[in-house]
Amino acid sequence: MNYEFDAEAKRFFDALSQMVHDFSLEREPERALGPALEANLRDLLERLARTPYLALGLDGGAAGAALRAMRAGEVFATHTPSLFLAVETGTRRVAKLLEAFGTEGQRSAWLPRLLEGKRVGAVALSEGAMNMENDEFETEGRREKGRIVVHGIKHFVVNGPVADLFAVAGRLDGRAAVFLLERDTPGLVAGERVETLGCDGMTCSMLELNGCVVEPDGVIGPMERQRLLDTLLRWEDLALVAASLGLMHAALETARTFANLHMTGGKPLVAYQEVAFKLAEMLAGYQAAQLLAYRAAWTVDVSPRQAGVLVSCAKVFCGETAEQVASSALQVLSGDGYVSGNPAERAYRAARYIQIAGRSSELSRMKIAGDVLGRRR
Amino acid sequence: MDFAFTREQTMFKKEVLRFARKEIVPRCREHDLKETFDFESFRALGEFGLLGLHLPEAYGGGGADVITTVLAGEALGEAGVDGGLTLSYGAHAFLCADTIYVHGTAAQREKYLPKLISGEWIGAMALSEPDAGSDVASLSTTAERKGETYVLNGTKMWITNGPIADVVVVYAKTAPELRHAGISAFIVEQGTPGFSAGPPLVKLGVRSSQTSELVFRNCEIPADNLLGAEGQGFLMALQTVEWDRCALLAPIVGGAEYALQKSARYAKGRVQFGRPIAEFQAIKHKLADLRMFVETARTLVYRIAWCKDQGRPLNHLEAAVAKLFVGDWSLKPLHDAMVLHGGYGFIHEFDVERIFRDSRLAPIGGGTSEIQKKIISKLMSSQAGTIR
Repeated sequence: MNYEFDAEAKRFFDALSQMVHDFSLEREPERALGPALEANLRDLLERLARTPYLALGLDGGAAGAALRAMRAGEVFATHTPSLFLAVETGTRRVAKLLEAFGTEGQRSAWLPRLLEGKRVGAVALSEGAMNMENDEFETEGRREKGRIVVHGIKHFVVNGPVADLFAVAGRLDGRAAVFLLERDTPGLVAGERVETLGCDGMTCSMLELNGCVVEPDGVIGPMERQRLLDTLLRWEDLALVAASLGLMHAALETARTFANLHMTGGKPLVAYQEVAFKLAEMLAGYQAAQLLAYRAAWTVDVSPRQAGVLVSCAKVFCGETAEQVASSALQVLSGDGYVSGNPAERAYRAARYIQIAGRSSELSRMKIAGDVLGRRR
Repeated sequence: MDFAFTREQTMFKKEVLRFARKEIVPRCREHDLKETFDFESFRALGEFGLLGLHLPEAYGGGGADVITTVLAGEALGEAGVDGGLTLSYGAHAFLCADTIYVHGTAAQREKYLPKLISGEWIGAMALSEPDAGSDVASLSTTAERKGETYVLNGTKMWITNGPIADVVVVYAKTAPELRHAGISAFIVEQGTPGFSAGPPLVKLGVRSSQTSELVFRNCEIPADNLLGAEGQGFLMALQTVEWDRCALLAPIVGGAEYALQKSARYAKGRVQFGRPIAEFQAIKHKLADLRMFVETARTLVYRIAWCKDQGRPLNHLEAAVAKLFVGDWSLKPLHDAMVLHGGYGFIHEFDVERIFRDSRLAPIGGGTSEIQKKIISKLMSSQAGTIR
């Protein structure tokens, strides 16, 4: 047992934190509008490509990669949760998909450009029904004259408005497959950026596939549907957990600083127990979430088959605790917290996304209970 | 980072589970119901080696590391041992015996530890008073040096094992004007003139443990019964917090796991509207919430144990977080486990009501949740840098 990261890992996290912090100060990505949204993502990807971050977990399952990615994600998301999610659930998830399931040709065609930060990726998974666990993909590829023609509509595609490469999940030959489509593929229409409650610096849109033609070497699979879903959702859930830790950290730090500096009745706010105790509850929730998240990620590294339930536990606990911590931070900040643009207010809105995206809290709870009921007699 | 237990630790936990299920659990319901102490089980804990698991073999102990010791506590709870017995075990092994081991002289260790480790003697620790619980500086029990003796006067309250203890580590002021720095610790044996215990208090939970008031009226003890030096008592009491935040919390976490297993079994067998209630989403969500609590609490508790094994000074912030979390976050899922059982959850034989009652001590005993928040917030505001 060891509850500490080693010195080399700590140095990596510190350097990453400093780099993203500087970028965030310079660009204010959480306040970006219009073309700046895409520019921020592309510029940050290029800077990240000069660090080990983008390749993390993409080295054939290096020891400790998931745990390291969890902590790295946390420090990244503390400064800019939107860009963290854009990088992680978009670009890096496509890269991981290529590495895990892609052919040699697909990897060599795309992985270098993604890892050099020269291309933006997007994973298109959700559909109108929103319940991928129960409903078949409506998006489907049909074989026609040696090619595959894809039709379908995807919703809530992170990086949809800006991506160069789309990994589109759908059906092929009655099984699941992922169609690799470049942005300029005829018939591919990425919608306008949808307005969302939170994650202001991230772009998200619908994606229409109107008879998009894919060559056979542009398809990952076909494969067993649940395997594809479980893999994609686990990666997304882990990223969302890391994001929730970052949200909590930012909200808590903002509230703590304010409570120490803001004077009322002749003394700092923190001198009042109703404020001080709220901060204590927030920290307890954050630390509990943090350790659970680290343990879940560690289990992914050492025992992937047994990690599913812990990842689900972390997804629910961290997502819901993030909302509670952010809500308490808003209360501590009072009027200042209600003004848009501060980290607590951003975290409060973004925390809703964490609980909905990936496997929702409800579906995750069903997974956890399934494990409890199946394992225990 | 590495969250794995060693093979030996895992094996030992399984051994404790087997032992407890066979030798202890069959008597737990009855003792909880009758509010009687289970001397037979306590001795069995001694014979199995749990009462001195963490203490050196030279005194009859097991010489185990902290994580193994904490795993044993978790296993007791997970097996279904009631919180009363695990609390008595905790007060005996960690608050009394460990304090004598860490601060006692060679003679004190020789005299007390073998009997405490075997279970021949029962130990207790007496700190709280009717008007001084978390506010230790307000202790009013005094110990006045008179020649080769100390004379103790005062009343202690909420003393686990109080009515049945053979030996008690008592905290009293030798220099009241120095507040914290004037507190000293003493070993007081049952039968010492002037020392008496009140009748067992009737409690909401942990009912098989015997809790009482202890009264010291001109209680004269040999000066050799001073533990450590005068004025060190407050630090000794603080050191017990390390064990309190891991070994004493572990049975509560184990108890929650036991409640989870009981609930899952019940939900699969209980049929309503033509199907097992385990198939209803609302029931599944309750099971999931309890599982999340168990996994999270476990991680926090073992962090304290790991740090202690590393020989690090206690991180008071992390300790308070563990205590606060186990105490406050356990309330709803354990309540839900009881409700999940419907009417059966409200009666004694299904155990979940007992676990719920027992767990209610967690936000009170060993420092209330409010005290934990006070500690956390104080440490938070004094930290110059960012929270890690």
